[in-house]
Amino acid sequence: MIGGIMSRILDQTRKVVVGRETETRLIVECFLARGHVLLEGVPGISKTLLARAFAKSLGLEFKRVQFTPDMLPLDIVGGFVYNQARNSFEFRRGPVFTNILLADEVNRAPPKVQSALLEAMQELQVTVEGHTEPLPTPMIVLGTENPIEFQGVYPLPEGQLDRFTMRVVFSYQTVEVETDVLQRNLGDIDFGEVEPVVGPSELQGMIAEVQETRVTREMLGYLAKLGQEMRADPRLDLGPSPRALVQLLHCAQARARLEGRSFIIPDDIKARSEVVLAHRLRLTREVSLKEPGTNPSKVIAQTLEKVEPPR
Amino acid sequence: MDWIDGLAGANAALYLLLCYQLINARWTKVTHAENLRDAFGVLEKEVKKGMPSLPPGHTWREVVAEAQRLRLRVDWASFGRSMDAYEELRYGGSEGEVADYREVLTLAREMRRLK
Repeated sequence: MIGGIMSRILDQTRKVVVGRETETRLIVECFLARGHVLLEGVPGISKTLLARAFAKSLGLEFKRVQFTPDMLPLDIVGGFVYNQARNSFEFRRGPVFTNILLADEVNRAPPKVQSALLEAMQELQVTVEGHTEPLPTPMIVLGTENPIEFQGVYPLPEGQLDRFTMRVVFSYQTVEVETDVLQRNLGDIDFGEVEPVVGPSELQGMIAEVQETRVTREMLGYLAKLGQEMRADPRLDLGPSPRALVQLLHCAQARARLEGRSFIIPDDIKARSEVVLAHRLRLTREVSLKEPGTNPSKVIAQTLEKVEPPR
Repeated sequence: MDWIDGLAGANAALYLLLCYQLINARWTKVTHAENLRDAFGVLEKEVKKGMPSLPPGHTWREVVAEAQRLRLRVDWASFGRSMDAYEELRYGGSEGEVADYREVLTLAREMRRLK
């Protein structure tokens, strides 16, 4: 069922986005793994374009919110509004009530707003003044972050970064691809060309299929060993949380399904460790200052080289 | 002096036979496996000796990528089928061990040549 979905989605997103196949693949995987993605990259690097094309190709409801420093939680999750005709307060849903939410520049919003959004992401429901409302399913938040801005931003704390299943870094394209981007932009980009390639029930079926992907106990042990090894690494102040490992497992399951397997292999875990774990690890202050070549990605790569997978 | 020539010839033949048996013993030891799982066990040992620079965290697919880079003489399509079957067996809960594993042993022999 899942096998051909990736090529069908890529066929659609390619109509408006040039390149970015790897990024698209990761977003689809994360979606099937019931996670949320942090898209990191400088402005104007097609993060929003890809998010819109992705939403359109899945035929799901898409909303975009530009985060700003003067936002309130109400602007995201919604709140009670007085209805004069009925003489009562009614819950008005915020933009988080959608299938795909693009939270643009999520680090520009104050911590209260970030926290309201991230709680909604985790619980898949919103509670305002004792009133609980479930979010639609499936639901994915694509949060964007500009890595080079310091003015007027509220960096996401570790606990909140942990709620993003993956961090996908958008880097500059090659000269050849960028030439194609310029060529594409000689005319208007028409989102009308992007057609839905899958229906909501089919999507739910795929998500269920991913959940059923077989994982041996040995593989779980391997994943746990990786986590322990990283937590014991003296270069890290903060290692991967149990939630991080669970999300890595889900992403490995999604990757396996997209590759046509009904079970995961160690390569699935290794292939997704960096995108799932790197943004959650924190180097010690000493290592950050004294070893400029060391970063979380390097620690992950070295741990993967050290821990023996089941073969 | 005919008897000396004869003795030298017999000596040479004896040495050749000994060398053949030694090589054959090494060869047989490498190539013998009862089933697919066994064959990968044999390969594992040869990989450790033949590719000592490979880190302990390597996977089978990484071994294959490295072996292909070294242009080892293996029928990769056939090896790929054996590996798919092994993965099914090892991680997928499949119970049948009917897959052909000759190329797994070929790779093990090629690994031995690397040492």
